[in-house]
Amino acid sequence: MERQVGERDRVLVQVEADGEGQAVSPAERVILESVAHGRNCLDHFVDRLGLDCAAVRGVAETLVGRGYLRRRGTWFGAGLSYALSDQGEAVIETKPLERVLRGLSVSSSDLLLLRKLMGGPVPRVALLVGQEAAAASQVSHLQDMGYVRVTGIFRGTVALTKKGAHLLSAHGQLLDTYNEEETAG
Amino acid sequence: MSAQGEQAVVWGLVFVYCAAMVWFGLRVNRWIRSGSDFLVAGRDVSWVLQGLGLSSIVVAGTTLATQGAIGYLSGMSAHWWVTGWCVAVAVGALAFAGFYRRTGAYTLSEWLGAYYGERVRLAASLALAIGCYFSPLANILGGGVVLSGLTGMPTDWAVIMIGGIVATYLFCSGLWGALVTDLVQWILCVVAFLIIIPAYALLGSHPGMWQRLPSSFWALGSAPALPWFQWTLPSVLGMFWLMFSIATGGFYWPRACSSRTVNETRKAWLLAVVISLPFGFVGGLAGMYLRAAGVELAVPDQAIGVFLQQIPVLARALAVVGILAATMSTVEAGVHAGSMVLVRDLGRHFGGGVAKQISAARWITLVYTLAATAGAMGFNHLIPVLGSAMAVALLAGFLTSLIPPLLGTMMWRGSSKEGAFLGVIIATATTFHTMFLSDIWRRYHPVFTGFIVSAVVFVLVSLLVRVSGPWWRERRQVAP
Repeated sequence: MERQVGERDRVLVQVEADGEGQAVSPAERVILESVAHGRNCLDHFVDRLGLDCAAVRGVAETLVGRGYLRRRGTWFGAGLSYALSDQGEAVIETKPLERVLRGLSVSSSDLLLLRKLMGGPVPRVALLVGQEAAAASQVSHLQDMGYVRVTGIFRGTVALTKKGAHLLSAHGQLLDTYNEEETAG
Repeated sequence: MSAQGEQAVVWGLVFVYCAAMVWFGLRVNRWIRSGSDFLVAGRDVSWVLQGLGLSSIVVAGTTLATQGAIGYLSGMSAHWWVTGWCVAVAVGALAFAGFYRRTGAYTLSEWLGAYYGERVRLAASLALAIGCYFSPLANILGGGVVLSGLTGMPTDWAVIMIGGIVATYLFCSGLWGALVTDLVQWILCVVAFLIIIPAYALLGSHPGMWQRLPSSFWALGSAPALPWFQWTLPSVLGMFWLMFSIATGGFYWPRACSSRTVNETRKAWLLAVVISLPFGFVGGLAGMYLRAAGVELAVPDQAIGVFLQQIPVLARALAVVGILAATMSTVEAGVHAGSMVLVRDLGRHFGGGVAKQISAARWITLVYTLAATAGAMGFNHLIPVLGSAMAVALLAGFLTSLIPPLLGTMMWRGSSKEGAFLGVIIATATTFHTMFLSDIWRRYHPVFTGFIVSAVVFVLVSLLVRVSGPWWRERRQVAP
């Protein structure tokens, strides 16, 4: 019997701080989690946190200072992109399944959004209600990676691409394998 | 048809156009649910809409009048008025647009603040807000003068009409309203510029007429011959620099950051280049037609008005509406960029919930537009002929001071907050002194003095700071 969506995602979102002395603030956690899921650009953090660019960069630079992040890029990209350092990897303790899924470069909320699109195209505005900036960033991230396409001149419609459908399929298979191993274990 | 009947047709179409713009503004108002919807259209602007909007900014209300005058004086070199913008936007598309979007910042000053600190943000936002003010001022004035010449209404009334309509739809729906009206305005520009003008210039001519023009009129590479043009833009390279300074100095930033993705930003800018280029090569035809027909003009700027008097009334009315549309689309770009700086950079300490943010953004936009309208009326009386050119010079002069620190964030890790702050402050003061307190502007355009001062101070101070260490500490902003 197929598992419920909520249960699948509960497994995926368990990202926790790693012990004493490494506690991170909510804003720092958002950035670390975002970087862990392959979103390394400042525009994503700004949209996700809903703060202005200076404040968000302040948080990111604080994380660089604490050794959790390192800057990426030089020419035409300096100060825009970040990657997790080894110490940062340690802070974001992930479940085994999430480590497997890291290669997919999507988060659990991305997968939720993709599943919403399995039934067919959804007006973009319907995805944005209540969490405009974060969802807008999420959609543009997925669009850049080729998992969704946005059509329409004005307020667009979001649909799953073939690549997005393959991603969901791969995710389902990984989850099944993981669950079988867990059961056997 | 009698003269009164013809005037009625022209005014009827102008009224329908203005009513439609206000209607679009009211209609799109329902899409505004947050400050980001009002300011950056929720970062949901498709590349097609973005490209059409940018194109309608590139094609300004004064484009047809200016190109007509240049066409009358020197022929096809009139294309540089649009081609210069296209080259600047193309360079922006390839080197800057994606960067703008990736910063996540709503304004250039916000990004400079994120990189260098609060002092630089404050200095940059002052330069940007002052500079952007002169963009709607220049275009409201330029469009008002053209409209006044074509319809016979007093220039002040034309200025008030343009400013009032733009203020209304921007107040209602912010960037969304601007983008939706841009779409309509671009279509009207195509009708006026790409269909009516060339059609009547070619249909109204007879075989051999064009051969009367000197061969130099067909040269594409020469610099346009127009007295005030020579002052503003002494060479094609100078013209490119002026347009580049405006395009990359923060004026187009808010548009870039409203795109859906980084790639769509680049695509939109390149689309704008491709669809704007044809406008460059037809604008001068009206002036060339008059010259070939042997019409003597005491003031070349009258070329487009005289040309339109010779075409059927419905076509003339459509051309007038097209010019009005081109004016408004460019006005709203400056208003949007300037008011965004006031809301986002200078007004961010206001706090409050979403409703208060939208309300503040609306009122600041309204006041900014009305202030630009009042400024346009003032310039019209104080600097009768050169008003628009002076305003463009001020716009470019203030914005160009931001380019060195922007380039520093992109490609020089040795750049310092001290260099950026002092460069922007001293260059802004220099532009102010050049334009208002001396007659230096008669010899040197502020777009050159502003950039050189900013760049020299920025580089020298940054090198000094590497030796001396920081001159002041900047408190890092952290999230609440």
